[in-house]
Amino acid sequence: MPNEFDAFRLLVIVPCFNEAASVARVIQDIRANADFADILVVDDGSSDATRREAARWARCIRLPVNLGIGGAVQTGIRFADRNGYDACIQVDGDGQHPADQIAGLVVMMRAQRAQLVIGSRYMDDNDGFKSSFMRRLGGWVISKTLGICFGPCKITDPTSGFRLMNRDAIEFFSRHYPTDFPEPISIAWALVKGFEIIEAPVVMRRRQAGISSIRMLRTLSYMIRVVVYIILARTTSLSEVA
Amino acid sequence: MAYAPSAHLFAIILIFGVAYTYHVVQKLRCREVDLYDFVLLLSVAAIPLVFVGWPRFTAFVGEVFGVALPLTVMFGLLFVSVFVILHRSLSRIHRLETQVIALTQEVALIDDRVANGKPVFGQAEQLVSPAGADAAARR
Repeated sequence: MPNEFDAFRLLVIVPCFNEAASVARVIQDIRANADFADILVVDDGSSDATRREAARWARCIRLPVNLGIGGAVQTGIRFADRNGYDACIQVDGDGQHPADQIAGLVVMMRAQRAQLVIGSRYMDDNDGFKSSFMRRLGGWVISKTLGICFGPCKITDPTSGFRLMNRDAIEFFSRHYPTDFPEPISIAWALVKGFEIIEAPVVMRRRQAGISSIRMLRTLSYMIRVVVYIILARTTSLSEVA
Repeated sequence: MAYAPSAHLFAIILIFGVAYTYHVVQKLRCREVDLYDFVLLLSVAAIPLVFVGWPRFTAFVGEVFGVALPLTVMFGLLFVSVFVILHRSLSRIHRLETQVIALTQEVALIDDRVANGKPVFGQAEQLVSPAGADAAARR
């Protein structure tokens, strides 16, 4: 365990929905690369053996019904809040997010005193998984909308779920976390709150199993609705949107 | 402008009004709607009845709004009525959705605490008022 992580309590939240085929590998990957962190799997009402697989390797909370990625992640954030964690990071149960880059994000967050660190696929030219053109276009439009609405904030990958949040963000997101389009809208809410958000380049992998929650044919609809939500977030107070 | 609804129109709207009112009253009796919703839903039957039952009133309202055909005003008011019902229902659904999500998360977190042998009301105990804590100590 690296010395710099002594006394630093990090929770890795692994939201899963029907990820029985990949969740064990994801947990083992985290154990191998970030052994200083605690792992919490949030089974979002899966109908397959996700819970059984996850519980063999890590602590697992099962939601009785499917709440979607936002509800599952917020459950993990609430757990982190109540158990006094210094930070928590979301690592999706499909195996896309590289656990060997968790430590780098933590170092970056502590060095720059940021509240939110987002692992970005698009910051550097790398050979990692980049997703389809339409989804990249959607990400670009959302990023530009965030820039227009909230000033000079350069978010290159607003739909990335690989994100680390510090104690301030844990306390905030445990109370207010969007259930619709959680990744980009939580960025908008964090900017409304005045949080410092930074990005770090990461190399992501293709999902090992399961189906993406953002399907190809819905990308355009997703993009339009997210843009409207961001504009609404800019014009309303948090008590109204959350 | 004179306005005289035909006997046919009056009969159709009367039948609709009575049948619809009966339906809504049944819903109220079964407590499927509260009193506020009941009044709002009833307006869907009451507005057309007023417009065919009191032609002079209908003509007056049409004149006030500058509409030649009073029934246009009637449908406009009906639209407003339905919009208010929808608005109220959507607000309530959103509020309930937020509460259901929070409750579902709490159920999962409590289940986890029980499974790991921790007291379920660990946090709630801290919220007990000083008076409540004194009473608990005396017991």
